[in-house]
Amino acid sequence: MPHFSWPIDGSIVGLYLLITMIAGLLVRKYVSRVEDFLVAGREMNVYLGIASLAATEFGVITCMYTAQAGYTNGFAGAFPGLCQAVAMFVIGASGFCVKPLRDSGAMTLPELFEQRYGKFVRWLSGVVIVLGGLLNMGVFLKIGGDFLCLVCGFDIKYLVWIMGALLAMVAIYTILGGMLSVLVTDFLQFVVMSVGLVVVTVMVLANVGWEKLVLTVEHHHGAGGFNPLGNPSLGWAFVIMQLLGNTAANLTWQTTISRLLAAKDARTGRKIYTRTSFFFVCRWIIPGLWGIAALAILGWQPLQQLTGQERAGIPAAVQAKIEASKVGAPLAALTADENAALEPQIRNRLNDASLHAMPKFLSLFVPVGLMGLLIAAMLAADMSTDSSYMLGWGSVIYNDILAPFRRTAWSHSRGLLWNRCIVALIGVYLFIFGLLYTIEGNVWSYLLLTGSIYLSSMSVLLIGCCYWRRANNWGALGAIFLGAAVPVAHLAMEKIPGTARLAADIGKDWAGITAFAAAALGMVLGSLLKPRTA
Amino acid sequence: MTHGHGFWFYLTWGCVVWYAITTIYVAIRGSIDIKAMLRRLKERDSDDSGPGSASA
Repeated sequence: MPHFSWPIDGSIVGLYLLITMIAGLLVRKYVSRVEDFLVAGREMNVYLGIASLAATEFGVITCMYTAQAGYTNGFAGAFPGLCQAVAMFVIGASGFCVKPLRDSGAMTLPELFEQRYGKFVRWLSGVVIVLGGLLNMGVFLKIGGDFLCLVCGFDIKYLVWIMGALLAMVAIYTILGGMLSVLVTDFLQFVVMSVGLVVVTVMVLANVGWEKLVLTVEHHHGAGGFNPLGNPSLGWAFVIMQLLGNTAANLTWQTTISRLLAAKDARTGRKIYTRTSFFFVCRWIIPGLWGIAALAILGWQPLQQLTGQERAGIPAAVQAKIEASKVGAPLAALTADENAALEPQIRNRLNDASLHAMPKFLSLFVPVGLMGLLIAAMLAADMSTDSSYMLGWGSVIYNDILAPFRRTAWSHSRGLLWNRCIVALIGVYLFIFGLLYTIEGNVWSYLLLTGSIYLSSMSVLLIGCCYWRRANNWGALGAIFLGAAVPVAHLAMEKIPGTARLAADIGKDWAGITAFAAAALGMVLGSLLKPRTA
Repeated sequence: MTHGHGFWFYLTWGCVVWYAITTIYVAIRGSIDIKAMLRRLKERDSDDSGPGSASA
């Protein structure tokens, strides 16, 4: 039985929600201009920036996929966090790209691109950023709802209601207060989330124990559980993709750079980067440890995801193969015919076994009282991420995609109204997409692949814009088209039955690496091919 | 103590300790930042409405 108690844990969660909503709504009176709504009037200082960046980049979705990485790959699964931390520290310390970006005074990346590549590239960059970003965040709400249902022991039929309630609360204060409300609630959410994360992690280390965690990883993953290069499901392609993807994310991910752009000046923005960098190690290690603890306590039992009736419909030989499968890959040992004989719903449930292990473990491990703190922490994580992401992509839609339609300057009130409507529409999209879309395979790889629709081209455009004189609009268009074509084609191949196997053989990591290579090639060739004008 | 995996052992405990200390520090300094940010925005808004109120 899950340990959630309505009177005790429910009160803690209710109190947290009440305080957050009040804080988010109180600051809306300071929003009088579009600049306040999108970048908080550029008045953010270092520590608020650290809290906001950390809270934004840690949602329930983060907790779920990093725990899944720990469960399926042991400590080696936390390698992306090391890459991200190193990349962020180096970028912050050197000012690589981020200094010219902040100094430019732009509110979004495409706004900077217009200065070098022209209006059309600005508009197209906005479209690509929004496409990649919305595909990426489309799965946040459902996975957040999954987590809450599993930890609290709610019936999954309430998932839609939980998703709707979460979204409504976040949408209200984001629509009314914009970035100001987001920053203030992010701060509260950072504190609540961090306390919950640290307390539960200390409990895991004290009660499960380091020795058991290490022995579990050794037993299930061998040396590959500690070294990504020794892990057959990770390897060099994974390492290269993590280095590329995380560096590009630090340079161009809208919600990350919006903290840079909301900072008082470039120096403050760079400090936020260097001082938040180690948080990205914690962001992977802490939930990863929870995932390993879930494997140590619950083991790998994918068939438990199914009801007795569903299990009875699967031949005994297939059940034996699933039960003996490698952690996180329940269908890998099945033949194509055996795989096809399983209903899609059952395949999805089996694939979700590694994703759902951590919340199931926590539902049994965390005692009453602390469960309330954990749920509040995870709600805090989820709300801060959702609000920032809604605002982040909304700002690009308003500032860049709608820019050609604003022939004359809009009044502040009209601009604010449009921004609020855009955020509300993103909320509706999130709700619908979350209900309809099903992820194939590992969540983190999905996020990195959908992100690379724009990470690859936008990072190439940014570097070209800041440091290569020959970079021009032909190169920018080449980079955008080639950088987006590869991941979009891969995602489409995954969904088409005839090409799904080929897509799986290529893998998301190689598809992502190819996207970066294609974007760079497009930029170089396009820029060199354009005739120089006198 | 580390069971042959010192890197991950020290990194894990390093994360827990660093995160606990950072949370307390950022909680204090961040609240100061929020107050300062809201004060500056309020001053800016009152500056903006200054000429209008003077002529009224």
